[in-house]
Amino acid sequence: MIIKVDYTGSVQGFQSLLKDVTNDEKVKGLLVLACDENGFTPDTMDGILKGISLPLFGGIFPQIIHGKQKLPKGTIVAGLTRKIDVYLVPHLSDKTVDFNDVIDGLIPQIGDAKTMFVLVDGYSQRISSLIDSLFNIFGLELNYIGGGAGSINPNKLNMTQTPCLFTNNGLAKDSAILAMMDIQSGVGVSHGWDHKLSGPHKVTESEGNAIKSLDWKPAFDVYKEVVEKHSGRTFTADNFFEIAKGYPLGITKLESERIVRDPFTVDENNCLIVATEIPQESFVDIVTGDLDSLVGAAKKAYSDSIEDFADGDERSIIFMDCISRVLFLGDNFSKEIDAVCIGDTPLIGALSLGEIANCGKDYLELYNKTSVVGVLGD
Amino acid sequence: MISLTEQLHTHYEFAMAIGTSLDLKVMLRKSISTFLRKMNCQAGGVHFLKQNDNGQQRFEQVFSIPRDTSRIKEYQAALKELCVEFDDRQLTAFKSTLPLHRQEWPDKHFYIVDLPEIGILILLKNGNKLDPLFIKSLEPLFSKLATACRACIQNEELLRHRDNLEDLVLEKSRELITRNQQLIEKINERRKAEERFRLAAEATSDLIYEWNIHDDMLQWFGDIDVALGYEPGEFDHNITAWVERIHPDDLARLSDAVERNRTSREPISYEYQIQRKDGSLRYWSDYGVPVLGEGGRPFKWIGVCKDITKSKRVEQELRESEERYRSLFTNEIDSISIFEADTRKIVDVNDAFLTLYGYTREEALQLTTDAISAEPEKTQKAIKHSTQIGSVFIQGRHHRKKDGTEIYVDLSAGPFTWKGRTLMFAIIRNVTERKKVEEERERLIVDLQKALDEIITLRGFIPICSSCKKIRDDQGYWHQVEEYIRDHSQAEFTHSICQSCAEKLYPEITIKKDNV
Repeated sequence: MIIKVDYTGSVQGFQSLLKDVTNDEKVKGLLVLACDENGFTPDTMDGILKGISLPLFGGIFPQIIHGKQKLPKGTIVAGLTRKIDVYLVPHLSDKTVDFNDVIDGLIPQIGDAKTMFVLVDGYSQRISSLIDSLFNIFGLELNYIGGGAGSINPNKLNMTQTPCLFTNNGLAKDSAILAMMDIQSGVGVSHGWDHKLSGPHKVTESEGNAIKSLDWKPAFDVYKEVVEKHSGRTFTADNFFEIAKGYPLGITKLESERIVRDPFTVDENNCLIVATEIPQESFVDIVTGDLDSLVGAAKKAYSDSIEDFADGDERSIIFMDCISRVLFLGDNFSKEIDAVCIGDTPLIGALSLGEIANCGKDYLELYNKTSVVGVLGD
Repeated sequence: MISLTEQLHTHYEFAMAIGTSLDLKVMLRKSISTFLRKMNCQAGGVHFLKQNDNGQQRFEQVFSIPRDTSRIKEYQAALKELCVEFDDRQLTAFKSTLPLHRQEWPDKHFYIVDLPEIGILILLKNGNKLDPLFIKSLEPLFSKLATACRACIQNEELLRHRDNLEDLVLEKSRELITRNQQLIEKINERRKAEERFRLAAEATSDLIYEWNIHDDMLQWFGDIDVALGYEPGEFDHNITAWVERIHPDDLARLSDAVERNRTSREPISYEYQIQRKDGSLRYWSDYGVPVLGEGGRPFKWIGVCKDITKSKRVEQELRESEERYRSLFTNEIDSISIFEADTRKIVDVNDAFLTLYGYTREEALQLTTDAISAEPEKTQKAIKHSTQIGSVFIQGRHHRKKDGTEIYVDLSAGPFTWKGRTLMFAIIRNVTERKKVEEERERLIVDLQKALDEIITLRGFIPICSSCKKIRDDQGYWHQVEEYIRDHSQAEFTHSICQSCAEKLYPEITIKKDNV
């Protein structure tokens, strides 16, 4: 993998990166990670992207990672030296679309592919359905790594859907990119939100990503009671996420780490709005973590990925870490990067809106507040 | 170790995931994905027990996550536990081993659990093996899953039946719609036809009627009032009014017909006289057909009355004319025969013919013209000629009577067409007596001519001397006029002297007179 970085976040810088990377004859495909703050728009990007003849995919994220640096602005272009096939799944929020049929039509055979990058518009409504369809069709024959792209203003939590996925046809939104490559990989997944405060609470009413009631009580009331007690802080009209970023909901899996869901706001009906839907009749815990558990989780993810990497000759590392972990860890986030950026192996990554990963052992899931480390043989 | 609370919650979530959906695919997708997700399994599949035609049973995969399990070696290993076919004993033995757990590779397990009365569930799990007690505790949920599967299958069958029923209803509805449309079209066509019929009826002198048997009302299409000379609306439109107008000669026949037609299904055709208001009579023809109702009984008749008075009169005149001509034909003193132009077969003769030729009528109608002609070839030629140019008059032709006697006839013959046949008539007049007279006359003429021929006459140029008045004969000898005339005629001379010669020769004794 040939990695080039532009720290200016400018269009010209991006063009320069593309030129540099594509000049290398070994490069057969491009992965682009860009920061939201670059302000890339279809107007500035589409012409450039359509001019690229090599298969290209990528996303615009709140922030990106290069080595031990977390970049709020800038662009990374990675040249992949192995053949990649890129597919776009549009209309990711459309409830009428059967993604099984769509993926079947797009990818009749996986061929020699060993790893699939899955980048989605983090604000699309049916990411879980897409993930289920991927598992239905491909099972665990592939390693999956990816996450949700999109912009986020951590101060305002202004979550609006914008074109955030790089394709050869320009920037796309409300879509998913499936990039398949015959690159050996190892994947590790962990989050560190291990400390259970209360639960299990039965999700007695939910609709999409809104939890209306827990144990037949208003969801926010249940959540508020537990979190305020533990944090010693009181929820006001303006500070929900500031407190809640440390108190996700955990969904139990037998003999496995919980899947966590990130509550990011409360609506006018006292419904908890979480990043990914939680089905009614499931049970959730209210959990929390701390610096050690989170950094420890990142370390575990890294070690799991190395362990999972059968080739043993890692060439690069992809680190997809949830933006809310940054918001929770603050300045300590560098410790999390340190935990996964070990040795000379080049590392690139992004702070994402939801993470997608599977190391070939577990049921494929869409994660929140999780560290995903992918070791690539490229 | 899974805590009791976790087990209970897991059971609950499983149960909720099985849910109440009656769509097998939806139910299995939700429940199996929940099973796999909660137990962190990598794959799972449901196999239903199906019976073969030979009575053996086998498991068929109906659902799996992922869909293609053929490349998952652990899953294929699990399938090897299933015989290709089971008989009842083998199946019972196999089920007694369930739930089955195998660990074929390190950290890779598969489980086969019973779905009572429907099949089995295969689960693949990485990592630690599941607690056998926990698997055992799931049996009620597997039973619930099996029940849900059966319910879905039954529902599918019901839906299939419903679909079939819906298809049937749809098909029948389509048929009904089509029939309805056809009926509407027919009604519209009938309306148009009735309108055309009404206009046509009004435009012609024919009267069309509908006789409703149950109330004896007659609906007339066409102006019945005008036809019978009534004021508009004056003539009652019922069967009684119509019967009252029938001429007494036809009344009994028509009254009987009315009663008979109340039940008859045969079309009718009558001719009768009907009396107009002013007493004048008109001939009507009446053709009607019944309209049959339930039980094949007529409930109405539709018919057409046509005024045939003119044609009746023409017919009568024709008949009279024919009678007249028949009388002429029969009573004609000349013989008349009618025969076919091509075969010359006689088809009719009059009495005079029979008298002349001596045949009976029956005999005559067996003959051809050749039989009565004594000159058949001439006759045939004349017939052919006549068919080409029309009527001919042939004078003097020998015919032969039945007794062989020849007669002499004049005849007129000519072709005519009758009912598509080319016939010829021949008016034959026996002129034998006249012929005899004529022959006698001819003979006399000949005799006379002979006699005349015997009379010596002077004719032509007679060479005479201008001076002495002698005449030169054919041999060149000159003769006195008296001598020549005496020799060349029967004239005799007596001698005398004319006045001028007497005065000249005998002037002394001559008395002047104008003439001697």
